[in-house]
Amino acid sequence: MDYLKEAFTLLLHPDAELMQIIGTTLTMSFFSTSISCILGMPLGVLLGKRRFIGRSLLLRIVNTLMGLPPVVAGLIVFMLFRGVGPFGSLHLMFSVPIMVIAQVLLITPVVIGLSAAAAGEKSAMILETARGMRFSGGRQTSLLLRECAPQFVTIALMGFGRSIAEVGAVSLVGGNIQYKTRVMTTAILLESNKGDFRRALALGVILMLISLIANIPAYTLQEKMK
Amino acid sequence: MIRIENLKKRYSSDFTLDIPALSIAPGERVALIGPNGSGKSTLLRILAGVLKPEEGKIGISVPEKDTGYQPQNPYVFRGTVEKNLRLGMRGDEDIAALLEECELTALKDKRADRLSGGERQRLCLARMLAGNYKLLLLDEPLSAADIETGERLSLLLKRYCENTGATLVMSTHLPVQAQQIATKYLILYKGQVAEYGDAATLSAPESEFGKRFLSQWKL
Repeated sequence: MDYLKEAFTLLLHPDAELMQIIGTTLTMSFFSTSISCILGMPLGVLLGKRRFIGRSLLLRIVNTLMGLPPVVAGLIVFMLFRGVGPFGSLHLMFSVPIMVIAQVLLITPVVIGLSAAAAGEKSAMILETARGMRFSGGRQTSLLLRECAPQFVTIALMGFGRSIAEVGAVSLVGGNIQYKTRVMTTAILLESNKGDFRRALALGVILMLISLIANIPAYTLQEKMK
Repeated sequence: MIRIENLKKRYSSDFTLDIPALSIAPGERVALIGPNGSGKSTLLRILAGVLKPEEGKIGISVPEKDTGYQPQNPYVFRGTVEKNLRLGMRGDEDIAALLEECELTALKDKRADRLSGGERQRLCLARMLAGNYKLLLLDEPLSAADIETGERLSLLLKRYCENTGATLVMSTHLPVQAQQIATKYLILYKGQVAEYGDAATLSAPESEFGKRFLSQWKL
């Protein structure tokens, strides 16, 4: 109970560092989830809907990448963007944008795979029905997207969940720099390493509260869509 | 007018739909009858342009935009029954009358995904009728309806075709249902035409399969 009390005290009277940590966490998660959804959902729908040569190989690759360990994603981005790497001249290391890039690498395959499954499951029935009603190609696609919308909300939420809870990639490329790249998960890790379990747990409670707050409007939206 | 010549389409590892010649005049109501796997759905999907035949010619005088096709498991879209029906409308059809005729008035505000199998099928049929098509291709449109509802909907479908002059090609595995609607009967067995003709086809089948299949039913 003490931990909960401390979490709420921290939330009600946040210090400057906590404000920065929450701000950075939300900024990073918002951008990495949004970019992953913008890239992944159309690709996923295409992969689920169309039948073409190499589709099953592509699906297998995507499914494999869905399980990509965060540290490996972080390492790949680290190698690409470090000073001597191919994109080193961009000087993005240890910044929020590089953390977003690492998370996009991690989340996009999940979004593609789940979108393909959502669209694939329904697309044959929806498209055959819509085609039978002589709807135009554009209308068929818009109906398919409309029918899959509740699943897309769930997929975006899963992406957000994966982003906000991720620690391996962001600590590797972000460096957990105070007042710059520290996010909730890396802060929890740091507090645990320091032995300050009270603050670490309080931060964990805040992280879960943020997740809950993000879920409420998404759930309401899903219900409205039905 | 629909004219089929030397149509061939392999639809399973064992069977090939093989129709040497078939013609359907405008305004006719043709029932495709046969057991599961006889090729009924394949023929309908070919006529609808969903599948391409491997061989043969198909001529349909009705433009594609005026040909409505309903697959065996049609999808009901998100939203209410009325919203689904409006999706199918292409002109200024009387939606209230259609809801009434298809026994959907009481369900019009119900979520379509919460309908029972029979209700869902009534909605899909109503949605097709709302499209005001000149050629209707319906795959087992009444399979989930109970006997009484099936009879009422068969009559509705028949009346609709008579009033609008629409041509109907529908599949069913129930000859009794076919009898209530159709003017012609095409009995398929393992992709081959066993019988094709008018009411006499059901009362006096010539093929061995036709005799065996129809003897199960009290027609």
